[in-house]
Amino acid sequence: MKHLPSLHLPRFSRTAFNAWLHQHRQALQTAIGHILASPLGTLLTVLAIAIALALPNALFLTIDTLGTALGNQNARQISAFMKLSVDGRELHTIAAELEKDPLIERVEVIGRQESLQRFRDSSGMEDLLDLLPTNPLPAVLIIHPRETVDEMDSLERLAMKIEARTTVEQVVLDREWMGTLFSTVAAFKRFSLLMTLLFALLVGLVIHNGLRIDVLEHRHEIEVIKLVGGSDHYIQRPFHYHAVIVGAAGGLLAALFIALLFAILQPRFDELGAAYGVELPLRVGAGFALTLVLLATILSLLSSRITLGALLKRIQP
Amino acid sequence: MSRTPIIECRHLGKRYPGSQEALLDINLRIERGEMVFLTGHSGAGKSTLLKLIAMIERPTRGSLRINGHEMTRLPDIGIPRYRQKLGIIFQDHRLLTDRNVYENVALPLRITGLDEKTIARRVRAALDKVGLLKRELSNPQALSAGQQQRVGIARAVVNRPAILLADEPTGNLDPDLSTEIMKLFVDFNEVGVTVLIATHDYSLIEQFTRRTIMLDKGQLKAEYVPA
Repeated sequence: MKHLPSLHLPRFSRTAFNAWLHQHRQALQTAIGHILASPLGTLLTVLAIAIALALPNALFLTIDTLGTALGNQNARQISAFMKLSVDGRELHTIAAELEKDPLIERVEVIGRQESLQRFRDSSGMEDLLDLLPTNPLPAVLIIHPRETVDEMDSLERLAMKIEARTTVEQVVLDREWMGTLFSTVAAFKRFSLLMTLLFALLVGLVIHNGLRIDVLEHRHEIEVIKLVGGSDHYIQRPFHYHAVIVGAAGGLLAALFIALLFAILQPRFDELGAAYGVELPLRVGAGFALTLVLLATILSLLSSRITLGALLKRIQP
Repeated sequence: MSRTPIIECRHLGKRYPGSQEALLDINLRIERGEMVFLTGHSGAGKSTLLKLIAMIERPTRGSLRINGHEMTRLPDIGIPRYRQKLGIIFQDHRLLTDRNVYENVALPLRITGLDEKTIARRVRAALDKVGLLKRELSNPQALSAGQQQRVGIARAVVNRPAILLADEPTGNLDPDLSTEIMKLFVDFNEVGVTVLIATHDYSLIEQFTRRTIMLDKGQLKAEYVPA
């Protein structure tokens, strides 16, 4: 020890950024080491996060699928019966005008002749229809609203707007069925959202409890690190990395759980869908899975920050 | 004009919540490069004074200046950086038993973010100084009490501190080992490190004639300055 000590920190040959990066690499290695040292404990935490996130989100996705599929069914259509004078080019012009409406996804055009043909095919009254001197059936526009029109009020407003046209004789909307469907779907969505919030709180508590035990187990080490000049940030870093890894793994596993659950439930939903003449595809999209992973990671990191911030203040050398 | 003392206490006091004053009106000035013994009976306030200097505890009154800086105004966030410039040694060594001697000594350097090459060089220099270079891969639990204390000293000096604070560093050691440890402190003091040792071992104080401050019931009772 030839040099005289001073109260100045030693000069680094590396830049401050490199030192910072080096510390982060160390923290990550420590976190991975901790996971490898206690794989069962880590697995249990990951499972707890995955189950807590999978349950409400599986419910949400199921309700969303049911609502969308049934809502897209014929009952959600608006049938506009035109005046008898409207047909041909005028009918297509009206349909094109309606399609410009931001609330309307597409308009199906059924001319007077096609109406008659469909009626003839479905009613079995060909002979009777042949006796009529003229076609008594009007042209029909089948209007499919966009998915954003998911409340009864907005659907009714759209129907009234169409009905106000002078060329339209009558508009038909199955108000009762739609009202029931929309309010049921909305109630279940709110319920699943509430469940998501409650289970997110549960995830926070799982992380908090795991961290509290970890910190108490490492109390002596934390005291020594503080004694030799380790800051709270330095001590927290490996725990934060651990929380990020565990959270991301929990989110990913939650997405896999939901996918597995949907694979099991799909045959039952196919049967249900067939009864209503709709498809009920239960799927976890890549976007949703990514959102779950991000949500779990953020939740885990947030819990880690809050827990450690409070705990480390209480541990002094 | 006199130089700024490295440690200066003015009317320094510490009172723990719900108890008597642990330290009362301490006025003390320690110059850079001094080696000072703090002595007194159990409960005299020796450890409390060291804890205040190490900022493990905060004073409840008075002023504490380190190298001219008022420490009572130092925010909590600044304490770790300050401790990186100190070497602290305890009677119970405070070594981590989940890692070897090398890793224990390397800990303060890892905190400062030094590269592995520099860490290895400094750790081996410190272990060589305390005579434990050959035991770098041993677990601290496999070492004797004296060796464990030397590991603690190596860890305290590896960051090249300006001040070494030792709280009863020879408390668990036999006289021969105690002398050996004290000689290490003398060696560090001779290269300019300010050393402050709390001890109630009067034989060591007599053996290593240095400035000695006696505390009693939290107050500075007497001071001996060798000729």
